[in-house]
Amino acid sequence: MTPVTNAKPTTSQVTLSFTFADPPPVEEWSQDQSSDLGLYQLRLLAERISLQEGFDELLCLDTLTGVEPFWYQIETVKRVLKQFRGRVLLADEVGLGKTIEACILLKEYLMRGLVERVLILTPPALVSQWQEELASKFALSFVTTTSGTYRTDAEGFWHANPRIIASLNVAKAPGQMEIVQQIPYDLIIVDEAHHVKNRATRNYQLINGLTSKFIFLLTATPVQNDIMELYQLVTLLRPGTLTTPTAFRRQFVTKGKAMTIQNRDRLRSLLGEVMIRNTRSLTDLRLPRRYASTVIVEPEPGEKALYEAISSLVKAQYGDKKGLDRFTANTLLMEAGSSPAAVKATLGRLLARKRLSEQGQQALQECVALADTIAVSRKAQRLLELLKSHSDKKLVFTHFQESLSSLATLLTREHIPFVLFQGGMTASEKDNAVERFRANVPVLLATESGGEGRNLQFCNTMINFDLPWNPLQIEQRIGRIHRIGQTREVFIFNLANRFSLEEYLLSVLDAKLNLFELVVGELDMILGNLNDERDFPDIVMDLWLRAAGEQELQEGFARLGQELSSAKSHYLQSKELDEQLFGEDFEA
Amino acid sequence: MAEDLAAFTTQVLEHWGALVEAKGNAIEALLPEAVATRLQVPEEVRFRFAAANGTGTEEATDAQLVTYGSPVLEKIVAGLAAHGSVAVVALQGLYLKQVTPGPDIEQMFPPLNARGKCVKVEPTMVPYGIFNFRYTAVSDEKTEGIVAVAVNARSLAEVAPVAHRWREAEWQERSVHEVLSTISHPLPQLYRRAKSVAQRQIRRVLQDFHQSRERRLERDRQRLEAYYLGIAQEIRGRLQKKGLGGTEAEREEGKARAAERELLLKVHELQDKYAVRVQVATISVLWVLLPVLHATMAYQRRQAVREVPVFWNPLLKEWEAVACEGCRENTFAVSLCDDKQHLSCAVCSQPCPTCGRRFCRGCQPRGCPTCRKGSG
Repeated sequence: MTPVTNAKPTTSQVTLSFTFADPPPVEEWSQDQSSDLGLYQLRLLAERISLQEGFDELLCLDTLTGVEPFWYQIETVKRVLKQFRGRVLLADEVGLGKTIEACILLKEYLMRGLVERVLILTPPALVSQWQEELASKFALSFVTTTSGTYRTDAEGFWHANPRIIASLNVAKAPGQMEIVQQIPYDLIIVDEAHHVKNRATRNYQLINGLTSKFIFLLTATPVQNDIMELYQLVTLLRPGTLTTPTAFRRQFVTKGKAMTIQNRDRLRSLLGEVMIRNTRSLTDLRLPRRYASTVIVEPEPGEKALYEAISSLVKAQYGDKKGLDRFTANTLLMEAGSSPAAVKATLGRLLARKRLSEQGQQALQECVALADTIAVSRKAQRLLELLKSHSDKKLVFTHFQESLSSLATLLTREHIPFVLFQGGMTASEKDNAVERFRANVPVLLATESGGEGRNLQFCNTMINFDLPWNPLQIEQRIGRIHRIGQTREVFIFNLANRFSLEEYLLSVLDAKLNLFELVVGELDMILGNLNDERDFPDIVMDLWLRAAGEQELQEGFARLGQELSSAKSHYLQSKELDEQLFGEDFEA
Repeated sequence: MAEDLAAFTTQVLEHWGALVEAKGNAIEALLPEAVATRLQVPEEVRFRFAAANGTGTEEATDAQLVTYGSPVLEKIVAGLAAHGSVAVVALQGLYLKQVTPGPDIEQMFPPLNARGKCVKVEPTMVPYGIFNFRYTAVSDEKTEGIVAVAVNARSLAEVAPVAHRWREAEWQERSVHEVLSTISHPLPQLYRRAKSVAQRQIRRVLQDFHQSRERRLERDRQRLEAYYLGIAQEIRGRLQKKGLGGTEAEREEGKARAAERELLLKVHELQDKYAVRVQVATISVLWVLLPVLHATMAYQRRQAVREVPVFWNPLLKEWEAVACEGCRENTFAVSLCDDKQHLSCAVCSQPCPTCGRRFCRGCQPRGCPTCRKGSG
């Protein structure tokens, strides 16, 4: 029954408008004096061949790089396109690849010309990950709110860019929200959408006020505390699907028990119109256990002195007008944690540029001199011990090319056979390297670039010679061997020097977060719960640089550990709740 | 999909002078230098049409991937777009029956308000334009296709079957110049006619697509109305039940009105989402020169006489309709207007359905001059 109202009735007439491409080709016809029936027919054929069919066959699958979508992901994508018509709550269990599903959908819509203006809203910690994944796997370039153009002209940024990844916090900020809501989008993707479940928050108001043809809400935990959270999410997607709040409570929520559902079948049928939730039991994605060991290495006095000198240099020069910018400071510290060879290369470049003050230049020279005194670092020696300890195949990761080269020299000297896998190699060179590693070489020395999508499951031991500061990058490394097809338990060794930033980082990631035991994807959820606008590496670097001494450092990292720990508990609670509520009822 | 692409690529490359050989799911080609440069690939090249296992993983091979959206396919299509926009064929060996002027023809084209007489019949060559249009209809989904529209360049009548049946006869390729000299209407006028026929045809093709959007919109609209008006009703119900007054009542009433406003916004958003926007691009034209019988019908309305050409088409073995000068639909029975002797079909000859005034849709293409409605 339509309720009594003061509002004017709305209509449901669909307009049909025609536009003929300009200019008309009449002139071309009268000028072109040659007739070529063969070409005429080929041209028609070209047009026919490029006609896009319905959604039964996905156009984008052949264009993906380093992604092997699972059957349930392809089914999900087709259902969203055909049945859900582009408005969906993607609520797969953690680690099943909601992001991949959303990206395939995005690519498919873009390839079919159904979408031009796209806004992706994520928690701050995930902005750069989205940008990187879309670029590397889907060949889609997006600008982000961390870019310089946003900082210089925010309003122009929103209007001028058709593809934006923004942190929710930035988009909802006063002054920004109003601008964002003026723009009509074709597609909005909200990652970790449980952050928009509360009607009273600006997060909710931001999404509710946006105009978009299609919208994907992504969350593994649509309900965290109250079944009404699910109601709000569904209402954002398709208002009215679950009727009014009062009617919904009356019909589906047991009085006095916010988490107990009644009329389950009816609710399931309604949710089936807007939600897909794939579960592990459907997908059979169960992986063997993995074990991580932290190997803390006591540095030689020279190494310790070098690390301290770099640390002091960065602390003194970072932020100074004539000093180091954030990127260089970050790189120097990470390189110092990796190898003397890596840091020496950057020091050399900085010296040559002569941008620092006299004092700075002198500090650089001192660092170079210290680096020159180290022939083989203790960490490298420890690596050799690990490599020689047993004969299983081992994948050694380092972030830096110079570290890779120095390790290659060392392994050659020690007569340990290895193959290199690094950015800059062609596809066939990389295939060749992987094949040699599979066949008869015990060690693969690799940098991160370009390795995704390659099957390395025949190896079950990974050694992180250095450690990326971004836990998501660590997870990606692990994902190279701990993935579908891995049948054996996986062993991960993390090398770090005592007193280095990496030692503190490992203590937080391993002890507080249990990073190395998390299911792939859980990390996104946990980092998404962190209430910090900065990227994780920035948080870590700031902690390091601001600490006046050992105690402050310990306190800072302890605080970070606490935050991660509570973000993790929050996630685990929601996960349990959602499993109880939804079970396996909404699979693709 | 991959097989179609492989066949197409082979055909194009061979047309461009390449040597092509199928190798499993791929093809190997030796390309002329210019073609290799145009496609930005080596002269000796291997093309594949799906990624390994169809999943997008990188292959060991350095084969060029040809698939939707791939740079190679785009370059091939772009290479073709510069040519092949016009071709001419003359049909041969068609039998032209012996016909003399008389009642047989006159009965085919009966006048509704005049006298009609066939005054002449002679064989002649008439060009038909087969115009190919590509349409892309975008709404919440997309559908696209190609329509071919055949128009008699003398009578401007649509002769749809010619678009497909010209291949049934023997043909010989001719020069564009030859056909341009025989077209009696200016090319832009002919093109406008083709466009209007194409639009009608596309509208017909899109009927199901359009209706399905209307059903979706109606369903969604009802859901939104039930939701927002339900909320407004609940608020007002509470207001009444609690007997609130003053600012509190105003605030609650404000909430109810906000819900109603949001409904209008959301419905507007839906209307925009489901609106069907059709982009049409002209691909090419094929001129088909056809030997036909050209008869002249003389229609006399009061003192004025208008001679109208009509054609017997040997490919279809039938008389072609003439085009109504009001709605451009094909018709056999015609009426003539008093002023300019425009030809109108039976529908366009009707008085204005709103005000009842009789007017010529040829003279008044914008509709009834009295009430501006009933354009027919």
